Amino acid sequence: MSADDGRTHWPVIGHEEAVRGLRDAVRSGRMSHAYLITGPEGIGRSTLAMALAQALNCEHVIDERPCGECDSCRRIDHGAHPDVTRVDLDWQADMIAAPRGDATRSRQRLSIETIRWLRQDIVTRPVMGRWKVQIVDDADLFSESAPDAFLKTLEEPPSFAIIILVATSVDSVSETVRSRCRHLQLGTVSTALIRETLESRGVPPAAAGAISRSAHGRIAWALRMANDPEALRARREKVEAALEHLTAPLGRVEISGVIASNHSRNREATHELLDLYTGLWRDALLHRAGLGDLVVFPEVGDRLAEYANNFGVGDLRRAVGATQRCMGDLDANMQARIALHAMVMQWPR
Amino acid sequence: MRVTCLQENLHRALGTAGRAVASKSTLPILGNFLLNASGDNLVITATNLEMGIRYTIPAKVQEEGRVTLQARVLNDFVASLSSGEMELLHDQGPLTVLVKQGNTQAHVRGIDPEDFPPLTEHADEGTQFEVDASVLRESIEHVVFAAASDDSRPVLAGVQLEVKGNKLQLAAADGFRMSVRTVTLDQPLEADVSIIIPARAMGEMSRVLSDASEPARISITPNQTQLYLSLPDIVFVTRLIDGTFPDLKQIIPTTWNTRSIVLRDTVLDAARRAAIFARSANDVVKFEIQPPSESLEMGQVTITANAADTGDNRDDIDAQVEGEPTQIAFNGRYLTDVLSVMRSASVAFELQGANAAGVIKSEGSDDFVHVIMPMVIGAS
Repeated sequence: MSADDGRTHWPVIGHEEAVRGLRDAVRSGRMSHAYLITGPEGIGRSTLAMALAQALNCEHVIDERPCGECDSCRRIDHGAHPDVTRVDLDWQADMIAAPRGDATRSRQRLSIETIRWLRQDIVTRPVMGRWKVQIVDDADLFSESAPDAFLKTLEEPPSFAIIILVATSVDSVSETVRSRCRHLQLGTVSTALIRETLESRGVPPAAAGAISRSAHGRIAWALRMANDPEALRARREKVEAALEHLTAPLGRVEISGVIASNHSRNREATHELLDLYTGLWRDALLHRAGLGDLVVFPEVGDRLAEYANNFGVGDLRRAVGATQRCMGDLDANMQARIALHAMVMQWPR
Repeated sequence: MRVTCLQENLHRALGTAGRAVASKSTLPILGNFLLNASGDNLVITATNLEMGIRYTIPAKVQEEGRVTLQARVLNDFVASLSSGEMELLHDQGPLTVLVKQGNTQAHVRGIDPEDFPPLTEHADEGTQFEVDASVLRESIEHVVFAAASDDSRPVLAGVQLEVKGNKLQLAAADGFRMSVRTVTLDQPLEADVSIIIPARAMGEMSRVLSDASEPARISITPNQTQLYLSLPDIVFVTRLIDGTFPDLKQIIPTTWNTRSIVLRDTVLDAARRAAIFARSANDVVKFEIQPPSESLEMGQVTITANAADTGDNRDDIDAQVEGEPTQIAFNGRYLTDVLSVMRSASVAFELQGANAAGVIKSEGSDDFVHVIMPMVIGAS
């Protein structure tokens, strides 16, 4: 593919402007030492970050990077490249011992210990590639003290290192961090392009249409769902059920009782359900505040928006807070029945 | 792969290479050994990305091949076998290995070796030199304890290795103390070298050296990304830290006002005793140094510690003292750290006063210098 037909061969769907900018930077060698990629979850932010890591370390001639085939590209794709590290909350849970008695926070915030790990890792020179790349997903979830610990590294990483922060919105990243990075704001991918992509990968037209519509521009989400139709169906059912709990004020206490009695057998399921509740209340709050394009459950957007109009912004914020608090209480082994009851009583009705 | 080797060889190789297996990693393959059978050898490799160890043992290779196997499982199983011949072969596809000895056997499952990080084969370019293995190990022990254990300044979590001409110098510092050891090489190097090696890897390197009697060959890749230590059976690789190490010349005091020479064992014992009481008093151990005088035939070093709640102690040690009487306090742990790695019979303390860094040297030799910052002595 010629380099100047407006499209590139980077393994990124959409985001042409950002890709071209990064491609030109790689070719000219005028890289920024730190990037901040922002946009809603599932639109391909991490994919772009990984593609940049591949382009930097690819073994092919410069115009063909990333080739996607060489050992370096393949390893980055598998997460097996010694010089490319991708850090997120899951990584933290595996790699960093949680501070004592604080197991829940390690799942909610990127801790200062993680930042220390990154700081220590970045000073060792790359062994396989030309560049050492650290990708920090969930960069909007730094714990309070973490950004300060990272500032010096972000401002002046070693000459062979590039740091890529990935966050939902630029406002959720502190000004001190933001000002040290080149900012790339990604928008959503057009529904037509998602549909085209799905179809080109062999998804039947009808399914491609349905997925692309409920994807609301989130290409990574669409691909995930297309690869796993069962997951798509299961997710729809779970979201529907959770929405039902939210919007049926009379049944809430009973439902909280059912969840509590299942809790001891399957804590993961409770956690997942509370995650859904938090997401739905957060979406309700966003709809109410006129920020409907930032929601994570667009597939139930219309109904949720209508329901949200019954309440004030303060009510919805309280609901998000109460749900999150309940998660924390359950992690701290509070009695499930009491914690869940307290949560539903604070939801608006 | 189908290979026969001796259990005692494989056991030793797994034990040594196992030091580089990653204990925590998001990359499961780093918890595995890479086994590579080719020619007349079985090569065991492990790496946690910061460092890697490759151990070669002789083997009868009937079928060449590569596989990665779970490190702990393989190590524990092989350790349970008796010495003598044992066999490793595939009988259930390429990812599983049958490990067999007499009537005992096990299937150990692995991961595709494709994703195993390469321990880059280094070309014969770059810097290379040889150094006696036991001298290198002793030199590492002389400095590595002084490296910083936190990461607030990444270069201080490393050991600096410098070669100028035929002088090899290792140095480590944590802001409160610094250790410098110099070794003379048989052959001078044409180009100077200055690199920083992670202290953790340096510690493992000294363990790898512990059984070696032959000279060790050190190679540094041309772009200074990695250092290789090669022994006849073992290759040890470590990444290098980027950065500028503090200028040693500015840190090491060049003059003294008081110099005292004491027996190392005696002062180490006294420091250990003082540490018992210093424990609950911020580790403060005091030195009071008296040159010979009318009332004192020989010089004397008095070592004391006192803690309000536990008590106090005192050791008076005969010493050769030159210069002025003085007092100084050091962190007791730092004192025992350095005195216990030194080898000479006598050590020299060179001091400039209570508030200046003190220097500890091996008496009669300039190849080891340790600098400790003093602690503030209270009103007493």
